Amino acid sequence: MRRLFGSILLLGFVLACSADLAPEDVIGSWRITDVYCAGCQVQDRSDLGKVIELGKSRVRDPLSGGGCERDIGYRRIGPPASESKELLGKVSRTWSTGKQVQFVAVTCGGLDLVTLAQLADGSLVYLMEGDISFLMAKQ
Amino acid sequence: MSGETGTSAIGKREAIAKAAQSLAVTYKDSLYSLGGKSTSAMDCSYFVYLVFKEVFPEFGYLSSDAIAGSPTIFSKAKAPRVGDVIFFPKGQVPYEAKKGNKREFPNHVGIVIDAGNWIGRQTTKLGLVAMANPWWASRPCEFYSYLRLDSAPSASVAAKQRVQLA
Repeated sequence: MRRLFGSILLLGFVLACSADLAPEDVIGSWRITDVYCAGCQVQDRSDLGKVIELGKSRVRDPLSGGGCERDIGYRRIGPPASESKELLGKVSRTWSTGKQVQFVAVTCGGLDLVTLAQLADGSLVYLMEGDISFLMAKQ
Repeated sequence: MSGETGTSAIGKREAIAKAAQSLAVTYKDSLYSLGGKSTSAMDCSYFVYLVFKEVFPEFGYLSSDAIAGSPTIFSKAKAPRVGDVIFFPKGQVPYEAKKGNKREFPNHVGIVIDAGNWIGRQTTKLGLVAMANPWWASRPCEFYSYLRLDSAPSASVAAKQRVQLA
């Protein structure tokens, strides 16, 4: 019985660790691999292939109109809006509203600059305003 | 924040910009909530209210539409200056419309903090937005100056204020 209880505890610990993605995991170069727009009628692929550089001392982000070169930071955040997870679920049911989605803010001089959703498989979703988001894979 | 008394017009504008940055950090973990009027769940106009109240304690809450539609409180500016309110009327967003999304988005307000950036409570963050941000830059926008920002500035201060941002 004690062994079974220990195994359950160990399994729980492993699962908890696998879900606990660190904000530092977002540092690197990310290429847009898919574009999602919940209400769009046209499949606009013009942003595919664009690269977002998330560095320790510099962010280059064509999606936000520039980037930042001062006091870059990364921090775990909660959903930025009460409907954030629902929005992700609308974009892709496989993301659904699962617990595996975590949110990260990229900060510039202490101010939030970019909001990302970090998926369990390590990919990132860049949350644009409105109905648009971008799926990104690490290069 | 030092408050309004004894501060020049430029000083007041800088105070608004600093308050916007400071409060964006203070309330960085707040949720976006349309119509929200608390420091834990707020919308764009409530954030603007918090910023102006920090510098002008008598400032009362105004909705986004009221900011743009109250000429005795806010005057429309020809070009943005630090401390102005940036106002996006409700309507389609061209960035999305060209992708076939005809949804009308609600109006929006934020605070101009320098020549290239503004701060606001958006659905994705309470934070920094570049003037060149393609999603926001595609929307028509207007700028409004709180009348008390520029009340009775000295001639030299007024001259400095004419330095346009963009």
